Amino acid sequence: MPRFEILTSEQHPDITVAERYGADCGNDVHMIPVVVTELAPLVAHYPVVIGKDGETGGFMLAAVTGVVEGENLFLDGQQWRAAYQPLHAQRGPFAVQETGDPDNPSLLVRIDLDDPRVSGDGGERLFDESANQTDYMRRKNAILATIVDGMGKTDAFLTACSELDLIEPVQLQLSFKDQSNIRFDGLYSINQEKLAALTGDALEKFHAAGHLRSAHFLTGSIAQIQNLVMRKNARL
Amino acid sequence: MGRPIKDVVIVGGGSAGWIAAGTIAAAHRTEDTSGIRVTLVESPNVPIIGVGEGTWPTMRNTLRKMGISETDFIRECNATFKQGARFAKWVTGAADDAYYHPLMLPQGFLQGNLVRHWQADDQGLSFSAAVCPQDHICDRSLAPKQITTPEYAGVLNYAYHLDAGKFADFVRKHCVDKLGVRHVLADVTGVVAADDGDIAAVETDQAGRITGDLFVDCTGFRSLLLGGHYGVGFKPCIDTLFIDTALAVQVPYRDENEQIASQTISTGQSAGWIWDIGLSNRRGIGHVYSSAHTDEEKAAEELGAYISQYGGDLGKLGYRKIPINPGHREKFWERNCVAVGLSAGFLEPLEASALVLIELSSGMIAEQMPVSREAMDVVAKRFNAKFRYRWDRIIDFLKLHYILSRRDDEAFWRDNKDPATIPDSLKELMTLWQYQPPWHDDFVQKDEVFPAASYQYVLYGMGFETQQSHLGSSSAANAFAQAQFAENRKITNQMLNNLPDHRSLISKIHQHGLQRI
Repeated sequence: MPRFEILTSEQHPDITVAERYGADCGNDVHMIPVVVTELAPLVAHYPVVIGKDGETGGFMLAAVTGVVEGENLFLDGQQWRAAYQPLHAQRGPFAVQETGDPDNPSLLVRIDLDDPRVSGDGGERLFDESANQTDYMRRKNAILATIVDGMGKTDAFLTACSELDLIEPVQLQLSFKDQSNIRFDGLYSINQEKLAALTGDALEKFHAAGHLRSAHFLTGSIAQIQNLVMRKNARL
Repeated sequence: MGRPIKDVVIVGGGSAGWIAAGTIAAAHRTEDTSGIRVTLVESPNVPIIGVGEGTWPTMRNTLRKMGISETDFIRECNATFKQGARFAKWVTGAADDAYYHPLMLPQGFLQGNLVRHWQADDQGLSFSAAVCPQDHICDRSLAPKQITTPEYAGVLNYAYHLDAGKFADFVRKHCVDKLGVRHVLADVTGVVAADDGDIAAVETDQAGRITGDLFVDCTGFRSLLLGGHYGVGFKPCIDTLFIDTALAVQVPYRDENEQIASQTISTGQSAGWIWDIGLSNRRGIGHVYSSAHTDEEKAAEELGAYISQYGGDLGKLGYRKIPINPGHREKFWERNCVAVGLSAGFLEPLEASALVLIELSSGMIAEQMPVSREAMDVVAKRFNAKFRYRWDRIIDFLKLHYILSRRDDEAFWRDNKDPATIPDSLKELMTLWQYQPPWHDDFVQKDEVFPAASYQYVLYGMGFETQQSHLGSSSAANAFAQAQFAENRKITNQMLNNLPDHRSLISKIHQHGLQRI
């Protein structure tokens, strides 16, 4: 069970975190939330789809890492076998909490003290002898900040797509070498005809905001499904 | 070709006027001014009836076709989801006497009839619980869908409970802002007849004369145009359905997290029954009764006792008394005037039929909108035949609830079973159903108001027994039936595990809204 606490040098002066992945770190998931700002490196490896947040019903982006629940086809022991891992995986046992003025919040870093990477073997220190943040901690902070910034931009992208009526439900059906089939429900994608039909002001605004680029990345990533199927077939 | 129909004038607001306006305007939108022009004139002084708060699943389509967002509707009309009706104390009057009439069709209904198989072995379940998941869902006050389900879609079939007053305002705004409906606030003081007997215009206090080609009478019980001006006769049915008075009250929840019921509740009383509808911010409760069998004082006492279970104090809350004249007009469309809503008729709200009749009437007018005055007479004749049939079927179905009751504690319940009060059409069906369970061909119209499934739910929910057939059933039929019962058990478990509770979903919709897709 996760046990998050706000990370401070006073409370956790000697804490260490091992830089690794693993099923014991919660990486055994078949869909992982992603942000638009990381689409460029993401789509070289993962299909990225539009899904819905189970709590709010709002649209979100997810990288598909497996074909059944609890399966990550990129996870091999403590290694993640791809040149790029989604930011939500890279953040490790850290999370953020927004605090203060809702219009201009500051971010507090939290750490899951029950995560096996925390205070275990081979860990990196988060604070040095003088209670300053280490380079490792600063890198993790940067990842968290990128995620927070990315989530806002992702919402803006998906809202723009929804307002232009570009989002449509899709069914993904995958077949494997052992004749088995899997169907993914509850997924969405960008309708290509409607995207191509954007003109004038609407198109300009969509492009100027960077959304056209994101939409094309998403569409391009669908080809990664074949790689996913190959990875699954290799395990069958 | 005859005179072209261009101007539709709806007299009266409320749910009837605005659903008619929205349905007709949405169906006949044109980019320019070449289409139908819809005007609604309503009095700034005459209040709407403001109590019709139960709907059928058809309302989802009605709103969607008008271009209304389900999220906006739920937020602004304090709407909640209705998955059927629970009838308590209708059969024996005992404390545990209750059955459901759910909105979903029985499992496998398009392929086979499960009644006989259920009668042969009910596996300890009521009919509705054996063939449909909604009994269990409603028992636990769960919602019929999730926050991720798109607008107007449902995991289980559903309708709405809504705030009548807010609903009229909400649809009015949409009609005026988005559908080009012209809204005139004025009191109608007279009707101007054309030479041929048509209505040429209505005279108003504040807005002068308003001319039109087709007039829709949404003036409520007064039936100003159809009954008042044209004198179309009224066919009372108080000899069949005795209820003639309603006492209505709004009861607040005890706290904002109190669970919302997933169904309309109807509870039998000594000479009538009490409706109980849960909106997001309050309950709408009313006692409908027969003044021939009890009086206002006693009826109010029973209403007070009922609402006290919710911490309501009738002395403090007060109630509205609404007289009901059960019945309907002999015709609904006379010359160039058609009545929609209470002006066409009214029956006790036992199966929430009033709003659906408004939707069906508006839909037919919109769909069959006569292009010329000549065509209108044909449409009118067909409209009258269709709706006369529908009113008769509704009367039959409501009466069915009474004749199946085994209550004999009060004269009201005994008198309801007197054969002289039962329509012949219903008697005939009851004879048929003694020997065979209701099935599709028992009802002849393509789009019946109540499908055969509804009759099954009420008949077998109230303990009616269809005799065993000497024909037995094939092993294929038996296998089909067992597969359906098993499928229903599976779906029920899935639903119990995956659906949120009603209050939580309504709160989330207020907070986050539903996506369009």
